[in-house]
Amino acid sequence: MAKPHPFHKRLIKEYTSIQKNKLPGIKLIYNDDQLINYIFQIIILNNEEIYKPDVKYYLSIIITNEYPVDSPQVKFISYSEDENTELSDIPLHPHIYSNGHICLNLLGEDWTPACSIESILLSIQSMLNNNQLLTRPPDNDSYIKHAPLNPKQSKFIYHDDNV
Amino acid sequence: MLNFDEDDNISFEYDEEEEEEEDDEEDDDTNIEADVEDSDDDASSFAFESDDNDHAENYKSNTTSNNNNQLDTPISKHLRDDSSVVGCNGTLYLPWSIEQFIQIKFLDALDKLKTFNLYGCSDDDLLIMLQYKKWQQEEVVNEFFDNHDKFYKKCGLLLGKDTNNQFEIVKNFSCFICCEDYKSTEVYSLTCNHQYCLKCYHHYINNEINNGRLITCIEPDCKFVIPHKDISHMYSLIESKHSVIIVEKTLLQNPLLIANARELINSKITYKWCPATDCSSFTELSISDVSCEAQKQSDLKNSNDISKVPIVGCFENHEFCFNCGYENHLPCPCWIVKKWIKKCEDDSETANWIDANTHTCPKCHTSIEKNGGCNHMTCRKCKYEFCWICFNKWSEHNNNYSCNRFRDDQKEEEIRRNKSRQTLERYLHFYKRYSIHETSMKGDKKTLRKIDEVTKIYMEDRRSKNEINNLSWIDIEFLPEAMRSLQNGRKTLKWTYCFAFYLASSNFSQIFETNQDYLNKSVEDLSEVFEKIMDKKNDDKVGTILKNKIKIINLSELILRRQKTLIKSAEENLLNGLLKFEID
Repeated sequence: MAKPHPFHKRLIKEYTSIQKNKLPGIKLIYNDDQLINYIFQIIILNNEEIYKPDVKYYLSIIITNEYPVDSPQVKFISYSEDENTELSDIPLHPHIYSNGHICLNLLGEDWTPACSIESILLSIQSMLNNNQLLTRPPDNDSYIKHAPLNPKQSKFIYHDDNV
Repeated sequence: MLNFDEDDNISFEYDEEEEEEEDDEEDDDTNIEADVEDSDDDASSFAFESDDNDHAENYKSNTTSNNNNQLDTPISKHLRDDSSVVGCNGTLYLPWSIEQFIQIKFLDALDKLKTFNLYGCSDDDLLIMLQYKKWQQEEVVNEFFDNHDKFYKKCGLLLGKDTNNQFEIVKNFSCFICCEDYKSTEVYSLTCNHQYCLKCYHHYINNEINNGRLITCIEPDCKFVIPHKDISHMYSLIESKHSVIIVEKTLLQNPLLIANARELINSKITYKWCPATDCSSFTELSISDVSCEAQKQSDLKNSNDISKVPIVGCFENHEFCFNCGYENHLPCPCWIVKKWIKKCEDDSETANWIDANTHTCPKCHTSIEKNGGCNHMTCRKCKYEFCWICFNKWSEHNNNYSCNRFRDDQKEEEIRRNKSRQTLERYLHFYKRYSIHETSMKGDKKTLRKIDEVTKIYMEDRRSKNEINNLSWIDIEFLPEAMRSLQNGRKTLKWTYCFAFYLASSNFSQIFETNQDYLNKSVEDLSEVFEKIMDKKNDDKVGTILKNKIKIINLSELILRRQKTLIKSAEENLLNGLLKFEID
């Protein structure tokens, strides 16, 4: 087995808290033994005009080696839980690129070690809940052409904080 | 060594000015330190180096006396703005060290701000305000009087009350970040009382500090800013876990101030870091108009006018080109340097070699080098059998030497291959010499350092025995000068090979080559003298130095003159179009 994460204790604690709290609309559907890779299913419940409540979105969270000092790598992915369902979509949002990368200051500048996986989940959910626009970011085409695989390597320009 | 010395002194300077805050113990320490230095003052007349910043990097050690001079004359630091240095080809510049930068741009601003007596602000608060306002003390004053409460809040400071930032040891602590449970551990908290263990805090600050921005409490929505002093203290505490002594850092060594300084320096095009290894100083180009300079720099990219190459020096006297960030590369213009470095780095020459010396298998196109034997080849990879001469299948080769019949298209192929063989040889010729001088420079440096040591030990020995009358430091003052001219001569020589590689041959290129030969000879002569001095069999090293004094002085002057002549003539002939570069 691989070496456990230097902050394994913290990861265990976060994991148990995720299991216990059961945030509405959010379901943990996969995690590895190391508690480093997670896939969450997200359903948007309170924004029916924009997102249908039966559409499932999938979010991948990968804990970096520097966690919790460094924020995790977070992106939406196309995923399906079994072979019969189609791959999921990336939610339309002015801060979410079509490759799943999310422009969210909590994942960059505003991250502090006191934030957690749960706080990321909550803020992404609220970002979708409060969205009124079904669009991609203005620079989506140019961004995805050159975007690195790891969204953490992108320097996001925060277009509009009001959305 | 020098850096270290200077740190001490500047910090000492600072201690005197801002002692109020530091504890008394440290005060005592500094006084002792000062005493020691005073007693050392006698040595000043024997210093190996004068303080005009004009000596080889090898000679930057043991100059306590110099530092005392600097201490006596604070002018040196306040007059910086108009005290530009003129580089070897007329570029105006200002060498900086990080400490100097922090002192002048940050701490002097702090001193000025203190004279305003902003009500209720501690030095920590002032530093935070200054950093928030990018060290513009006027803006701090304006905003302070404009809306005192709002400004305080913006800076993450507590209004009207004393801060309650604490390092404390607590029992039965469970840290929210690392989720460890401690029986007893050291924690840090700001006035907000959000406690985290020291290890996590240090980890966090270490990560945040690279931005060079103010750092707030770990708690996401908590806006309290950690004072500079506490960051220093935290670093000292963590470092003290690896050693016995706790060394408090002064403001000049403050990690956040250093990071902030780096950030500022990086963000301005008039500053450039010295490219020399292990050198942490930087240089400011003295220019009046930035936009005009940008234009000039882009002009330089293709210009052959080497008088405009901005050669500058750093705080530790490493010469470099401000434009391309490479060492002093005269007589080459920047764009030639770029081309050459690229050529040396990438495998274009390997490709040339492969082209000149190998064939590709006609079937699988693997490169094959034939190192002897008959012309019946079998490719190792695909087992294809073919004739090395005509590249046809060997089995079709009924009459073995049918391929000897001449065909025109093959001739062209042959000419092409020969040409690339020639280019390769030409390149290797110049590259070899270029790299030999590069290695020799390192060798010279080693020898010079040894000579430096030997002389110093000898002189100290003499001095302690009071035999100084027969020989004083002034008598061997010529040494550093000679060493520097040897190093610089070699550097120029090294770059002449790059120059020559791209040079189109003409009568004037022969003149250049003659100049090159002359310089080469003097450089080698001087290097040999130094080598002889350090020879293992030589018992009287200092004696040899003195015996060869005239020779060394003459040679070093000769190098300087020949170096200047070479560069000057290259410069003129390039401008007149008598020397031309040939780029394929």
